[in-house]
Amino acid sequence: MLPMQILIIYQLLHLLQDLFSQQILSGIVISGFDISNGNILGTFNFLTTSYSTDSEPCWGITCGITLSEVMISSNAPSTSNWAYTYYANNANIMMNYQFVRSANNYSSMGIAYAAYYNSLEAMVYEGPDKPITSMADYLKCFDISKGAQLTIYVNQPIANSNKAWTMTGDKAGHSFIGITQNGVSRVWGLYPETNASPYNPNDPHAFGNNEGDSYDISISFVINASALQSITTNAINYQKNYDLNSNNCTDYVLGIAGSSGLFLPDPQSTWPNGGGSNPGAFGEALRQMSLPQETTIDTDGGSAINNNGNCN
Amino acid sequence: MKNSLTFFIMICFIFISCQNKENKKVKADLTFRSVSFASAYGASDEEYNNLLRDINKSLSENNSNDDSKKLYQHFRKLKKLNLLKSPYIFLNLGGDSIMTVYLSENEYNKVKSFRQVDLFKEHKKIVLELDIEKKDIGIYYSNNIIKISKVEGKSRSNI
Repeated sequence: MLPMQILIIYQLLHLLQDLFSQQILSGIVISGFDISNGNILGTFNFLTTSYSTDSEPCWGITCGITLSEVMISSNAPSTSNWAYTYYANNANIMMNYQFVRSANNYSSMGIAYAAYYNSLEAMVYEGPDKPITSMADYLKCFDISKGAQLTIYVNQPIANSNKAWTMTGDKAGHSFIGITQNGVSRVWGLYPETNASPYNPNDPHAFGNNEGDSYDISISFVINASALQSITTNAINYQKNYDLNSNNCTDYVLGIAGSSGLFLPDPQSTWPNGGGSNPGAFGEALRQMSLPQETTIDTDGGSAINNNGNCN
Repeated sequence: MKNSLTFFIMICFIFISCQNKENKKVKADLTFRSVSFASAYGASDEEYNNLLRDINKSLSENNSNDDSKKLYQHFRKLKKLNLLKSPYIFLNLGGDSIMTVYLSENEYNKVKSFRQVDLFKEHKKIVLELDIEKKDIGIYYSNNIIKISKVEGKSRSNI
């Protein structure tokens, strides 16, 4: 056996040993997998660049690795770039193998797995990675005797789609707001305090810091001092529970816009055991609506503004 | 006799290997997701029966959308595994790897009081050691949380 093959087998054995034990996926990517509904339809040998749909002739590592237990790391192994380079030149193969990233695709095998694993995450929406512990402190830098710019951000479950939820979503959905005033900016959104589901839709509310979060569409307009005071006072004294069906993140931003004099479309959708406003339908309605005067819309998406200004 | 012994050892080895593959002791951070629908935990009897009806209906229709079909296929699998009404938690296994783990009610009671907002304020996170059984592809279950530790660190959410 060639030394290179021995090395690769050793790395594979090491990798297999690490499966399901919280270890980082490491080593050289050897096999790619064509996956459909959890079934491996074919394997690609990166070493020989041969594709096989026949499970019989292969054995050992050439049969591929069961992907369901691979733990994926965001840390890029430096040794596997060549595999990415090879596939980057073949769009068809990339699609077949569910290459879902176009850059930093350091672990082709892991990414293929990730696409499938993601499909098993039933209807998951993101919550605040940075909860806001005091809205009074969070908003205190604004001068409520002056106006500001209000931006409503919508991160759809699937960009350019009115789907309220998805099993295969490229990202989670969320609606949130940002306010900017003379160099001071704050971004936040409404969440359940713990967890909500279609069968437990109601929960005390929490606000989360959404600075820099990605969005698909946003609409901005200028609000006067009275509206700014109303928004900040409402947020500081907010008492309503989060409710997946009737007071979710999208309901919150619609209320903020309405209290500022901008009445936005509010299409309703359904999901298992419930329904209501949601980022998917709301985002699409924004794209299609006639733009009110003195509003600007960004349909290209991007990242929300970062918080700025410290008045401590 | 020698061949029989070799065969016996091989069978034992295969059996132990299989056992190890399906059941593991895992140490991971408890992580949080605000809105999720990984089971029908909390559903009333009526809601549960309606869900079962919707599952059967959706999977028998050709025109159900893909997402509904996938959700209901997943739920049908959970029902077969007797997990459709089970509570669940999310574990962060490092990096951006998140595992959904279904729990028995008893085990869930041990962890359900932890709130991310409290942990965030305290600059703490919860580390769990638990026995996890792989029930099916992507479906994991635990009936034994071995240890719960509150330690210094950032409690992650929605990675």
